[in-house]
Amino acid sequence: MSENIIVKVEDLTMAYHDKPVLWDNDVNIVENSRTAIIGPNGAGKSTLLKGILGLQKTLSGTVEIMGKSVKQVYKKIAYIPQSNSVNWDFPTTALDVVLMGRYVHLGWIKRPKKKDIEIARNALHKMGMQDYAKRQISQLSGGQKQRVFIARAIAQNAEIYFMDEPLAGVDKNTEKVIIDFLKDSQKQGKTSIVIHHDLNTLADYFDHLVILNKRIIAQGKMSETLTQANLDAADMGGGFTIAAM
Amino acid sequence: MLSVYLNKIFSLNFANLLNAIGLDFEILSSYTFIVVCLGTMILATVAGMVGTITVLKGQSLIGDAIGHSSYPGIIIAFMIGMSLDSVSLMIGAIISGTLAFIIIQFIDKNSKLNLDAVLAVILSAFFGLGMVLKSFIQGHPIYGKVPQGGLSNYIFGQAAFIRTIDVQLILAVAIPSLLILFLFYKEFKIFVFDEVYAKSIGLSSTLMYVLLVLITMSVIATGLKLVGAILISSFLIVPGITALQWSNRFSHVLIIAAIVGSFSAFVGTYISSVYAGMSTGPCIIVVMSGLAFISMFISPKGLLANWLRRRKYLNDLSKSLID
Amino acid sequence: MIYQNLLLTKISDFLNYNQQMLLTLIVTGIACSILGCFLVLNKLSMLTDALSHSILLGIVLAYFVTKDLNSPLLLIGAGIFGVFTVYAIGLLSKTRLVKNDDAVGIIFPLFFSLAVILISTFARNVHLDTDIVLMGQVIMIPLNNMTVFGVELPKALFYMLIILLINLIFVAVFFKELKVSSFDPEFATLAGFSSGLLFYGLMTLTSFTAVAAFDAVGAILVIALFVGPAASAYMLTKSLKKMLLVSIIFSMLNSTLGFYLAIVLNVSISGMIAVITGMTTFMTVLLNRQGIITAIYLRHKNRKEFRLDLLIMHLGNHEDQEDAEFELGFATIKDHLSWERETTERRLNRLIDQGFVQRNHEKKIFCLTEKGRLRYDMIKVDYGM
Ligand SMILES: Nc1ncnc2c1ncn2[C@@H]1O[C@H](COP(=O)(O)OP(=O)(O)O)[C@@H](O)[C@H]1O
Ligand SMILES: [Mg+2]
Repeated sequence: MSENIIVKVEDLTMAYHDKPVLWDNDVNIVENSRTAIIGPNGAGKSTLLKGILGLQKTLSGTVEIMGKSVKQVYKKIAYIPQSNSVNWDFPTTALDVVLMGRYVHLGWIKRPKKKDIEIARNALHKMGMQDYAKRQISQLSGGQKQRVFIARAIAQNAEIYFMDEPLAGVDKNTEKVIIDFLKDSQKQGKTSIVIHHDLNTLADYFDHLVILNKRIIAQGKMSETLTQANLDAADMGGGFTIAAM
Repeated sequence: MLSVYLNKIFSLNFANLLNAIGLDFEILSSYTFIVVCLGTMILATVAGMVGTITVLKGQSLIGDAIGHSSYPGIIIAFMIGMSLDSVSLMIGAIISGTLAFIIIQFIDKNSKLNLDAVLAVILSAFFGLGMVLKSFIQGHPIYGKVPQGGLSNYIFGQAAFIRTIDVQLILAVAIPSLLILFLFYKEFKIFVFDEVYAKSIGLSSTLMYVLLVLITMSVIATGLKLVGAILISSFLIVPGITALQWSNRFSHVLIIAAIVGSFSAFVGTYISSVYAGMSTGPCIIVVMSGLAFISMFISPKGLLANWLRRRKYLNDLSKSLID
Repeated sequence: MIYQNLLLTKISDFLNYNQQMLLTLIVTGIACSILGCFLVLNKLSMLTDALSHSILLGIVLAYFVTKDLNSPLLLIGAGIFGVFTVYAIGLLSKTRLVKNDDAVGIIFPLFFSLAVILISTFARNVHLDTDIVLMGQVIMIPLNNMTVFGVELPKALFYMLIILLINLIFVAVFFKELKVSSFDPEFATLAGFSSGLLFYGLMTLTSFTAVAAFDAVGAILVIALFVGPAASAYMLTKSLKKMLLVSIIFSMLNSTLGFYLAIVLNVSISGMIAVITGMTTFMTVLLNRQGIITAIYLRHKNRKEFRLDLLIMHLGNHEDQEDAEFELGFATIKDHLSWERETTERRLNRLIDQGFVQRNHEKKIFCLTEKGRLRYDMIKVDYGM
């Protein structure tokens, strides 16, 4: 059973001020998978995503997404950054934020059309946020904000989702909505790559796993990769035992 | 009886109407007033809109630093051109303001100093340089011969002295600036709201910064002659701050900022024309700030609304406790 | 009369005009920079900008009460008004309707505008020149004398000496509290120092210092004197005591250099000192031990070594893998590290010269030597893997 590799990273090295954060990493993301990336704090998980997406300079290595460079396929990629990159004081409504997901298809200068607004509304609806369309973004709760950002990714109509800790600080309900969405997308043939921090839910939520601590410790199918030895190798073993599962 | 009444109604012409609501028609129709008023209103409109982005980016004090920093450029442009030509002085202002901006960014990125310390040092160093150059050309055997009285106008502004050419200059900056803002509205919006996401969908943030700095600089530089280096930052930020009290939509905020700016400019200019000796720039700023404070009280997000909401909440709470 | 004259010591007997001005400038600079250190540490630098502009309104308002431009009450009124400005800014940002920077940006232009309007409408016959407010009149310092305890000295010098003394006492008495609250305001509150009280203490002194200094040197230089030396010292030192000391040294240097340059070139003294202050701060940014130039040098040096390390890592990582033959060929190495052909060759050759790498001619690949393997393991440890 051969699996298609949709994101192929080779020899990726990244550094901040020449202090290496990621060293010579090869990562393969399987098409149509739900892949989690785990690792201790400061392991370089966010940096890896930024490197793959070309948001941050790399020192060496190549990234191919669907066999092409990121610049060629960015329309097919939806990225949900860690929420601290957002300017919360900005005067904008939930619907407006979701509409931003359409910008990638509009190109410079052109304005969103009726059809785009329709798509944005549907996306909000999918996340159960239709009643909050007119709400100022800063007046939403943490979970609601996250749903809006997922809706923005839906509106973008991408093939691959990159999410940086989407479940951090959200309520149980939202967590379920997001995971259901990931499973649903998988059925539609999409791929998601999600930075995750909760080892207890890991195996339930995802089917593939990348363990990272500056270097790739292990990657592959969840069942084969989530082992005590691998967690220990990533300094994540403490307080959690696979045997319990 | 009736004829007298009718007569009165028919004699009510436009001038009387204005007089009736307390405006002096003679002033309003004077050529000087129209020129000055047009100038300040157009400037305040553009500055209010452009400045809203500055406010939202959390950079309100950068405008102040750049305003002060444009002063030496004006003096140098005067020394090179040996004239008080508005255009060349404006170019001088843009160059030295941009230089200050670049140095500020450079130090901010490359040292552990806080941005506000950097702003304070650069602001005083650049303005200090302006003072040095100004004192140098005063009584200088060559420069001293050219009339230079107009130079100090650029510190406090002298809107009352602007000519038609100045209004044309303001228009020449205002129209392209507004056009850029209008054309790239969507791009500015996402760039200010979520820069990282903007990058991920292929928007170059460098390009957006360049555009933003370009229009901000030119607005500041044209505004110097009217409002002066010290106070120009208010024109940029106060309308935006006011508008943010009233709306949750970026497009509406921009429009409100434009209205607040131009309305304040009109009222301020009018007041300064009625009361001789009052400078136009400061009058406009007092009106603008007044509107800002009023908005903070009575707007839907304001103090009054908050207070009422809290009182209602407490009332409901006590009622439900009694029940 | 003769008896009195005998007792009177004139400072002009010891110092000429220039020296009197310079002494006043240096005293002013020191008084400002010791408070400036705490302003820089607490991220309050732009409050000096706000203060130095809004003080003008304080002076105008106080003038309406005293009707005397030479009254010391004018300075006291202005000082109190400065504290009020800080309070107003704090109050405005506490409403959460605007951000702190916005509050600063609204308040001080408003106060400055009001002052300009008041001067131009009600006080036009009074000599309160807005130009002088910004630029100061250092030249006038020795011409404005007063006699205290039988010593005749410039008024500005006397005021600044008093202010300096008060500031020194404040910093000495509250040194521990100031230190804690500058580095960790939350801890300071927990530890029982009311940082609010300390904050207003600091701001009251800052305001009065600004008023007194502004009278002598103008609003713009006041900002430079508060922030410049403190900012330089902040980059150079690691302890608060050293920071205070270094900022004083910088301040004296800036004033002296700026003063004499201005005298030689016959230009504005205040302006020149502000320029020199900006330049020394910029030099410190460039030259301090963690500064840009050092960083660029280290970066360049590190980068060279780092590239070689990267190459060793690549070879080491792939040696034992099944695709070794593919991964370790020249073309693949070049592509994967995205290096130019020549750079790749040069770096490989250097590693071969250093004995870390050898060429395997048969398989047309590069591998690590024994020494190279050791280095590979060391790199892994060095970078924490
Ligand atoms: N902008 C930055 N500048 C300097 N160092 C950074 C920057 N961003 C992250 N780092 C450092 O890089 C390392 C990895 O960061 P990150 O990718 O955010 O880790 P993670 O997401 O796994 O917690 C950390 O040690 C962090 O301190
Ligand atoms: Mg992270």
